[in-house]
This record gives sequence, C-alpha cells and structure tokens, in this order.
Amino acid sequence: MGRLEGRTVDPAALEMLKHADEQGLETAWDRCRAQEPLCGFGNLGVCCRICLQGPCRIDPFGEGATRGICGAQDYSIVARNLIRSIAGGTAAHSDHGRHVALTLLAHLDGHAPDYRIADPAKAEAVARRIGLDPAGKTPQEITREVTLAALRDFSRLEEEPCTWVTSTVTPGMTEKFEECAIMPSNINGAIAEVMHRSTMGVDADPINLIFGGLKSALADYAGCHLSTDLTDILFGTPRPVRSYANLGVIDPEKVNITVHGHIPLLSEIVVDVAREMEDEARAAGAAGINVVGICCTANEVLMRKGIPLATNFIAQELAIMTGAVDAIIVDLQCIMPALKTLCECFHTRLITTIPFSKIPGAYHVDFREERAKESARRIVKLAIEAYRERDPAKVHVPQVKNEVVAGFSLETMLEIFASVNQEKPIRALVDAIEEGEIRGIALFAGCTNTKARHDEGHLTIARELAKNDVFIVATGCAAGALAKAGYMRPGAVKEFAGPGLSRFLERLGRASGFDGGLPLAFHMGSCVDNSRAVDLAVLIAKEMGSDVADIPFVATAPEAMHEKAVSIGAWAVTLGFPTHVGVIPPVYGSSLVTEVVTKIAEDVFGGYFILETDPLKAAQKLIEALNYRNWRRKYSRASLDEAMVAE
Amino acid sequence: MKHVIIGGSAAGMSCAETLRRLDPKCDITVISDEARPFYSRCLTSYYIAGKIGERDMLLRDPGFYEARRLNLVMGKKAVLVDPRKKAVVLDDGSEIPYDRLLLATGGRPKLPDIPGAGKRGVFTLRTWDDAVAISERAKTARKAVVVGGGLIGMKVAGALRDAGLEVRVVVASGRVLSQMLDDEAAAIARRLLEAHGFAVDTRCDVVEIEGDDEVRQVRLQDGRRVDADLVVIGKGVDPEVGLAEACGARVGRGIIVDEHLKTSVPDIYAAGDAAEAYDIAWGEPRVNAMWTAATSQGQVAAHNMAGIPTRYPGSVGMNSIDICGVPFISMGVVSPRRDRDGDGLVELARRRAGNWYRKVVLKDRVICGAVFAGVVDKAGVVLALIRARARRDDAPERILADDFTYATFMDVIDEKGRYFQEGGKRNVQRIMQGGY
Amino acid sequence: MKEVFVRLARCVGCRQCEISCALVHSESRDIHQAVWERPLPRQRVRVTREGSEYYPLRCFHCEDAPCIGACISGAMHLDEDVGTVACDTARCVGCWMCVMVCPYGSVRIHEGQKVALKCDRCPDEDEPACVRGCPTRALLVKERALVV
Repeated sequence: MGRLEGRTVDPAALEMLKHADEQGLETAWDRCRAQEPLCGFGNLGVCCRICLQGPCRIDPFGEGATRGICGAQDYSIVARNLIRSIAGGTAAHSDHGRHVALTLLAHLDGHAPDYRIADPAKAEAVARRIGLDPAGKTPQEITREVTLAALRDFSRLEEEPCTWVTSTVTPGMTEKFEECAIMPSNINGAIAEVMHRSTMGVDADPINLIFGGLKSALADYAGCHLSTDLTDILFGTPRPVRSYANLGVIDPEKVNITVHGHIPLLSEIVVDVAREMEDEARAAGAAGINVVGICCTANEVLMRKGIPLATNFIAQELAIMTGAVDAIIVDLQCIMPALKTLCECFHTRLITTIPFSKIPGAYHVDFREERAKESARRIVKLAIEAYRERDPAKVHVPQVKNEVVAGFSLETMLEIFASVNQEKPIRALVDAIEEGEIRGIALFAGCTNTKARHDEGHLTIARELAKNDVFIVATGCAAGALAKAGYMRPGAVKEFAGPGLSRFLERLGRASGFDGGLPLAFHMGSCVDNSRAVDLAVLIAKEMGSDVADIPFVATAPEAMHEKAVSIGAWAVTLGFPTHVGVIPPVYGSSLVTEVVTKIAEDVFGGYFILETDPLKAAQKLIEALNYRNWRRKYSRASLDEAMVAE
Repeated sequence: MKHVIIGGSAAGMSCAETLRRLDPKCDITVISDEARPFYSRCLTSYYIAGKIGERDMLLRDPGFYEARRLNLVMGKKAVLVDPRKKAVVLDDGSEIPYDRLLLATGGRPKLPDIPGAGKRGVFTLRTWDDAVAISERAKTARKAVVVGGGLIGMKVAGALRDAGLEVRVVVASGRVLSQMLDDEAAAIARRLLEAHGFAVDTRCDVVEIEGDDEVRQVRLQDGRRVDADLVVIGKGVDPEVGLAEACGARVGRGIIVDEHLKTSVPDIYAAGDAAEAYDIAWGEPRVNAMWTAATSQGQVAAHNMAGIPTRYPGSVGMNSIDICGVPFISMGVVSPRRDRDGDGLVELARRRAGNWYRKVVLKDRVICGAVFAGVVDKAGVVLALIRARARRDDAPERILADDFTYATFMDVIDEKGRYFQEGGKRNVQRIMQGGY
Repeated sequence: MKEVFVRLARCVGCRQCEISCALVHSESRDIHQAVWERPLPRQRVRVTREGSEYYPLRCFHCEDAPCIGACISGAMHLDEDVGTVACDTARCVGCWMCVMVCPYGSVRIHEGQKVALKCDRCPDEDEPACVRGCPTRALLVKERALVV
C-alpha cells in the first residue's frame, strides 16, 4: 500500500491527495504526520491541566509519578478529562439545538420573516409526545409551546427531569436514570456541574465522576433530540430524496457554493436564495449555481433538499483543492482553521457566519435571523464574484460520485414499514428480528479521523454487518462515508446484503413501492439526528416489551474524532447500546476507568464500549453483541414459557 | 618489545588486551598459575549458587587469545623474577625474558589459625577450582558455616543458601560487611539475612573445627557447638607480594606503585589486587582489591608499558552487593573514626521506610564516601563526584534527598572527573548546550 | 559512526522520549496495548530538570566505558560494529557494579528481571526511538566526526 493509499479508501479523496501531493498543498494527513509521535500522556488521558500547579502527568509505565501534585490518581485524572470531553460535546449539541429554538421563537415573534413553520404536523406530534394538548391551537401556538418547553430544558431550576429525556425513552430507562442519579434537569446545569465537579479539589471518585459525565451525556441526548425536533418543525421532516455524493458533485461549469458545519439555519436559506440567483450566475458566465455540502450541514440539506454531499469531515480541504469551489460557507463545529490558508491558494472565499465561530482572515457575514435572506444573498454574491476570479488551470475535480437515496427520518421509515403492517408499522422490523431474518440493527455514527484510514472502518464494518443480515442506519460523517461509497444506492443491497437482509429490504421496497428499491444503509441525518435512531430503538424496545438494553441494536463510530462523539458514545452506552469506537479514546491510562466503560457499564446500563481499532475484529464483536442479545431474548422467553407450562 | 604479565585475571588480561590494542606487533606473554582461561573470579559465588554454568564463567571466546596473539602460559607458577637478567623463572625451571613486566599476582585468602581447618569440608574461596570443590560438597551438605562476614563471606553465604543449605554466618566484628557498610546499613543487611533464614552471629568467632577427617561441627567462641558439614572461611585476602619482595620492590600492604603504576624496580609494574596504588577518597595509597580497579589499573599499566606515559588517577574503594534482593553499594570512606582518620570528617545520613538508607561522608566539605541501600540508581554519579574531588555545598543535601542526577553535577564531574578525560570531554560535547 | 546528540535549549521536558523508549522496548509497540503488558515496558532515557533546563539523560556509550571495566560477568560489552555499549542481559548476574560506576547514572536496575537496564540505542531501528519521538528535535543523530 502506498503512502497516500494508506490514508483513504475513498477514490475521490485519493485522487485529490495525489493532486495535493503534486501541487505541494498541505492536508490534515500531512499535519498529522507532523504531530507524530502523539504525546503518550495525552493519548492515555493521564495528563491533567486542570489547575495551575501542573500540568501533572502520571507515568503510564509506573516508574515516575503515580499521582498528581494534589494526589489525584490516574483514575481521577482520566475520569475528569473524559467527562470534560463529554461536557464539551454536550455544549456543542445542545447549543446547536438552543440556536434553532431561538430562531423559531424569533420567527414566531415576527422577527424572522424569512422562515416559516414548515412542518406543523411534526409540531403537533412533538407537543403530544411531551404532554401538551394541541387541540384547538394554531400551528404557531403549538410551535411556541413546544419551543418554550425545549428552552425550559436549558433553564429549569427545579430538580425535575429534562422533558426531552423522559418523553423519548421507556419508563424503565427513566427509572434507571433516576435511580443512578444521572437524570439531568437542566442541560446547561449538567454541563456546569461537570465543569465544577472536575475542577481542582472537588470530585476524585472515578465512578462518581463518570456518573456525572453520564448526566451530561443524557443532557447531550436531550439537546440532540430537541434539535432534531425543532429543525424538522422549522425546515420540514425529511422525506425520501435522491441525490449524489462525493467530490464529483462539484460542477466546474457552475458557481459552486459549499455549505459546511452543522446548523442549517443559514444554509437552508442559501439553497433557496441560490435558486433565485441563477441568472446572476449566468451573467457571470457560469452555467448556474451548484450548492454542495460537507459534514452535517451537508446531511441536513441533503436530507431535506436533496443537496449533494461533497465529502465528509477529514476530506474537507480536498473539496477546496478542486479549485472549483467559489465559496465555502461555514457555520459551526468541525471546521478546520486550515481552510483559511488553503483558500488563499485559490480564489475560494471562506465565509464564516456565526458570531462565536470565526477564523482569522476569513470573510464574516453575520448571521441574523431577522435578515437571513439578505445574508444569504450577500454570500451568493460573494461566490459569483469569486467565480469570475476562478483559475481554470487550477480546476481538478475527480469524476467520482455515487447515487444516494436519503431522507429517512423515523416518520419516513415508519411509512415504509406501514406498507407491510399498516396497523403497527414497527412490527415489520420486529418480526424480521424475531424470525431471525435480520440479526439486528446497527447505527453508524461519528466522524472521520486521521488515526484511521479514511472511511475504511465505516465501509468494512458496514460490509461485514450487511453480509451478516444487519439492518443499517447511519448519521453524520459515517453516513457521508457510506453515501460516497455508494452504500446508499439501491443497487448496494444486491452487492452486499446477506440473504435475510436482502429478502427483508426487497420485500419492504416492493410493498412500499419505493422507486428503484431501498438502499443498503438508511441515511437518518446529521449527528444530532442520532436521536432518530434512538427513537427507532425505543419504538422497537417498547414493541418487544423491554428496554433498549435488551434489543439487538448496536452502534458504531469507527472513526470518532470530536468531543461530540464522546458525548454521543456516552449516552449511547447509557441508553443501552453496545457501542463500538474505532479510535482509542484517552482512557487507557487508567485500567479502572477502562474497565468501567468497557465492562462494568454493561452491568448497570446494558450498554458498554467496544474499543477496537481493527474494523474486521470490530465487526465480529458487534455481531457477537447482537448474537448475544438475540440468544438472551430467546433463552429468557423460552425459559419463561417452560416455567408457565410447568405451572 | 617483550611484555610479560604474571597473573591472568582482571588486571593481567586487561593489560594484555590493551597492550595489543596499542601495539599490534609486540610480544605478550601471560603467566597464570591457574589452568583455566580468563574467567570471572567474582562469579564464583554465582557458580556455587547454581545460577550460572561453566560457559558463563569464561569471559572470552576460545578464539580470542589466538586472535590477539597472546602467549598463554597456564597452570605454571612464576617462582622468581630476576630484574638484572630481566627474566621470570617458572616452577618448571624455564625462564621467560621480558622487557617490561607486570605483576598482577592478585591476592591470597587469609587463613586464620583455627584448629581443624585442614579437615575435609573446609574451604576458602578464591579460584574457580575452589568454587567447584565447594559446589561439589554442597550437593550433599546440609548445614554450612561461613566464617567471616565480609564480601566473600556474604556472597558465599547467599550462594549456599540458594543452593539449599542452612547457613550460619559467624562474624568477628560487631556487624556484617564491616569494611563495606556502616552500622546502619549493616543493620539493614543483618535484618534481611535473618528474615531470610540465615543465622548470624556477630562478635563471635569459630575457635575449632571438629570432626574426624571431615568437619562435623564447629565450636564457637562462646562455647556453643554448631553442626556443620561445610565450612567456608572468608576472612579476607592478602595481596600476593612474594615475587615483588624477592626482587627488591618496595612493598607496604601491597606492592607500592607510583602514579604510572611502576614499582620501585625499573621496568616492573604492578596492578590489581596486589598493588597498593593511590586512593582518591582517602588521599593516600591503599590496596583496593576489586575487579573494576584491577581492570583500569591493567589498562593504565599497559599504556605506560607501551611507552605512552599515562597517569593513574587513583581508585576509590567501593563495592556492590545484593543481599536477599536488596542492593547495597558503598564507596570511599564509609565509617570514619575521628581518632584514626582525623578531623574535618562529617557524616550525613538519611533513613527512609523499607530498606532505603543513604549516607555521604565529607572531608573538608568534599564528598569522600557514600553508602546506598535499597535504591542504588545513580550511585555512579556520586562516585564521579568523589573522583572529581570538587566541593559542591548542595551535594550532600541533594544526594540524601535523592533529588539529583548527573545533570545536577555535570559541571564538576566533567571538568574535574579526570577518570573519563577523553570520554568526558566528548560527552560534554554530546550535550550541546544552547545549540540549535 | 553515528551518535545521539542533545540540544538542551530545545528540550521542553515533555518526556516523549521516555514514552517512545518504553514503547520500542515493549512487546506490542502500541501505546494502547503496552500499558497493559506485564511486566511493564521500561524506558532507558530519563528527562530531568536542573534549574530552568531539562536534560534528557541517556547512555553516552562512552568509548572508555567504566561499566564495561566494572562488569564481572562479561555482560556489558562494546558492540564494535555499531560503537555502542551493550548489555547482554542473558549474562547479567545483577551485581550492580555497572550501576556503581556509571558517572551518568545511565544504568539502572530492571526491577522485574533483576538485570542491568540501559540504552541499547535501538539496534533494530533506523533511528533511536527517543530521537524519533522527540517533537522538538532536541535529540538528534549525527556523525560523531561532524560534531567533535
């Protein structure tokens, strides 16, 4: 395997890496090499920078310091660092959700005329779920109540549980969280508590610390879920769409605008405005305007508007290197500051849009909900202006793209399931599990990371699981990986699915009349939309009369990178999912913490972490986890039946 | 040039090897009264313990001597040195002429006048042959008495215990390892020994070895009789100075040498356990019978014999021993006595939990000795400080606090630690201060 | 002959050389597995601080190495091919004479195995692990002749 081949399995990314190499353009992979060897203390999580006495480090090989200056042991340090990471992720997801809520509220107050209540039905459904009575109320009134309820999950002062946790999980799970004292009552409060208890001289008990982290993780989950709900209300609940993915979606003939980041508040508007400004682009000599996406903003606009996905996180620079991107509009999270230097090598305008997410030297167009369209127009204008400066000699677009069928919100999936079971749509899936037609369900989530070969973990595990009849849903950059590789086109079922999964998907496809057949992997949205996968799991669990901890549903983040992945992973385990992470998180410095997250967690929550860097081995472990849960379910049911017969 | 070396152990062999390196053409003859090729005398106790085999005792490959064209005269004793004829006479009457001669005659175990010391089962330990005999006896013996609590005594006691024997150590002085350790460290050693099943009698001696032909029991000074079927006498070593005396060389406790390791007789040099050379820590000539001093004296003598004037910077008496898994190292002046050693000597010591003990001895505020027990890492840095004879007022405190490394004292070690002159200079260059 | 040199002004005391050294002497050579190995892998380089400066101390591989002269078992020897002072641990009997005489404190006791522990200058590597691991290039390999 060549040096560059070792970096990615994505042919488009590889072509761009070769191009970058020839042109002397620096990428994250090059900077990763410059970082090697990674700090061993940091890598193991035994570096503590929390107070100013340090930094303290525990010698992982037991010869130097065994405790920090304050006397903190390896397990306290590792646990504190870990839960601060969870708090970071929680802050990111929940602030994203809060932003959507505030935009909705601004709209309802008449300050954001460019938005609308796109999905009143969803507003009503959420209202019902959280115990509000929508009867006789206008969509605006319902939406306001829902939005205020969401904001209360950030601001509640009473010790009452977060609505978005209790209303979305089983009563058994709620009880478990209460029992373990990890039920958050206030998202911001949970974050503050983590920061407080992990500061110098507070909590040193690793188990207590981790439970504090899990409280924050559940707050993260609430933030994710309310974000999904409110975004659906604001922009519409995704419906099946067809589009394309990979760098080949960049059209050299057109003005290319890339939307990148996570929160689609402005990107959605840019998509609309771009359609209105095609003429201006033509006047500049382009064939039109082409909006493409990167990261979760891409997922959001792909799911709702069919906007093509250019690439996922780690390859973001490669999109710029095509020389055909005229503007890249970024909002927040996962945006590499390196984009700025790279854009300087091209005509590309880097435009930041969020007041607290700026990059030195970039254009900044302040996003204001009250004049969203105006901001969007300014951005599109900047892109058209930049197009005129584009140097055709620098254009290099790999001709690689794959068809994608996306838009699988839970609502969409239930509609499809309803085609085989009108009365109880979820039974379609539960029957297939109980009859052994499918082995279970796997959620592919998380990022991409230079520590792994780009996309390889996602694709390898997906192939292995599909072959073993595992139903696949995906979000975030994992979904991006599967989309780019063609695993989200209908043809992939024939190519990769095992006999049971194949039969199941074909039957569903036929019954629902799904045009061209169903994809192998179901795109459920951005990383906050992992909440959709939880809804699916909770629905299955309820149908099976159990909790998520009992159903054959696993999660995998083969190339996790962000703190958000840590918080999602933490709540996935807390909710009961066996959760694979393909990049070793900084916990190995403490055998105790490692044991807790990989083993003991199962005894308490049913979920646990599988830390495995080898994708094939990881797939095997995930299959074993599914097998175990199937076996346990059958066994307990069989013994129950036997007992009843005996009586 | 004909070089003749009497003695085939550390000093002799290091001299021979160095000579060959310095002068590829000269004649080198090594005379040894032992019939065995160069082996490690210090390993004899490990051999008795069964920790190492025959091959491990040998320090050089069989082809080594031939490759270096060393004439080995083995199993023959030099009985006379004739400085006028410049020849060595062997016990078979043959003569070997020399241009330069090295006396690396080593030492001979002290044999106290104990009645019954001639019985079967009573040994001293100096040579490999001694070790073979002891280990042969140890195969059937059950109870051993070691007379003497010095280094040899302690090492052989440990070896016999490892070989499965019951071991009693009878020590004349008030503590074990009285030359090597001070009271405190010796107390730690004794506690360890007793905890590991050794019987230790101090201020006691064996007054008679009883039995018919074979040793059956020993009678102690206090009247007790103790069963024993193996006795090892380790009461120290006397420098082998007979040849030197006979040829008219000046002899004190050992063969007296100057700073070039020359004896008082022209063209005759001395090195190793037989030589009384300059001791840095004491600031006067002393016999330091130890492997490391023998090796370096052999090297320095070789330079001078080859016509490259080289000053011997002196040795520091030191030793290292592992007692029941706990390392002990001492060096230089260990337990000074004001009446004997004069004023200006200061002892600073520190004891910590477990077997951790450390002491430094200062003379006129310069470190001249140290004792380590438990944790001995970096003892070599302290040795380098002693060798450098440099005053660093923070040194005792830093050493006792275990808050030092080579870097702490590198300025004095490298500037004044003449022992590593060449290497030292280079090593300073290896740390390129301030360089980018 | 190549040697390892230290540029003191560049050492920031990150101790990455220690970790790299322990890792290269581990079974797995992977940090996430090495911390689970028993016995734990040992490092041969130590970063210490004197005043405001950090010193990554390792074996200097002296030409005139006192540890070789002091060694009673023949374990400590000069590897003439590569110019290193090497310890054949199979021959080491644990007498600690080398520890006693090394002026740099560069020979330690391997507590688990009771043998002398020192830098072997990574004979199987292109570049010693400490050098490769140094993020500020404070440690570097150069031809001896170029510096002296």
